[in-house]
Amino acid sequence: MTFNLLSKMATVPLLKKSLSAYSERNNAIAKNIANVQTKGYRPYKVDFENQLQRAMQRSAPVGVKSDPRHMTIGGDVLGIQPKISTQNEKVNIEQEMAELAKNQIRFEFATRKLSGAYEFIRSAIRGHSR
Amino acid sequence: MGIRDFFSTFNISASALSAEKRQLSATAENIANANTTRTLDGTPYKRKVLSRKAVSPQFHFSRTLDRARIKLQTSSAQHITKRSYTASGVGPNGTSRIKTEIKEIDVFKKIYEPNHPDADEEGFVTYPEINVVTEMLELISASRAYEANITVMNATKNLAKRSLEI
Repeated sequence: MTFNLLSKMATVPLLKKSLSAYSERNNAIAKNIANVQTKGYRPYKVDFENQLQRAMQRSAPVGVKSDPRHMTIGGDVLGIQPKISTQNEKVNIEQEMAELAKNQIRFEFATRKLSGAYEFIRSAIRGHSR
Repeated sequence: MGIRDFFSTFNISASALSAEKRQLSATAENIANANTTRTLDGTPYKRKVLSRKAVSPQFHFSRTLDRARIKLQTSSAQHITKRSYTASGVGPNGTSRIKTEIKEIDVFKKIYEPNHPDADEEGFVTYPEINVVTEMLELISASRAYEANITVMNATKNLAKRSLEI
């Protein structure tokens, strides 16, 4: 049970990271779509998934730290930052709209997982005897 | 990213919406005045073109707040330093809103109409160089861009709402 709880909680920091990456991306897409007719505008691209994948391949599973004296295990995954770069080509409105839709679904997935993890703790506190 | 950053995204979409609206009104004016040979100052109507520029916001609350705060000197390493408010709402490279400017293009065409009241001595009338088909195209792309920005706004709204449901 304890292990179960810990493994649930291990995803929380990563989910938080991905949420902030997705909202960053939403901002970038909003900028790109807003400037679809602006001459000389370079669209932004936020890369998070590739960074995450690379970090996952580099390191073992992430260890939860419940005490500051604990050793860091696989902390690389949490150290990743979404990479914002500018593209050289023009804004592709269809692609941006598709990215927007995808991003919304990803965001919803992350929020559901996050509330699931918190619900897990809540039920552990409350108990199911009632 | 906090909830404040969602609001900055709203502002970006809102500025794009108002830019598209200005484009629509400029196009409407161009189509309405495609054959106007005399305006208030006596010249033929000049075609209005909207120029857009991506700019960074002039005012940011957290930055202004930061500037207004009293700075304390730290003479020892143990002193507490002030908490810094990061101006994260500006986004990548600070580019954010759209600034629009309406420019008038004085390109005219001359058509031989000797009986026209605005004809010159040789019988030519100066008309604004407006292609209605081009203007219609501008109209359609502006209204599509408006729709796209509405979609972005709704998406941002959904994200903000979702993050309050965690």
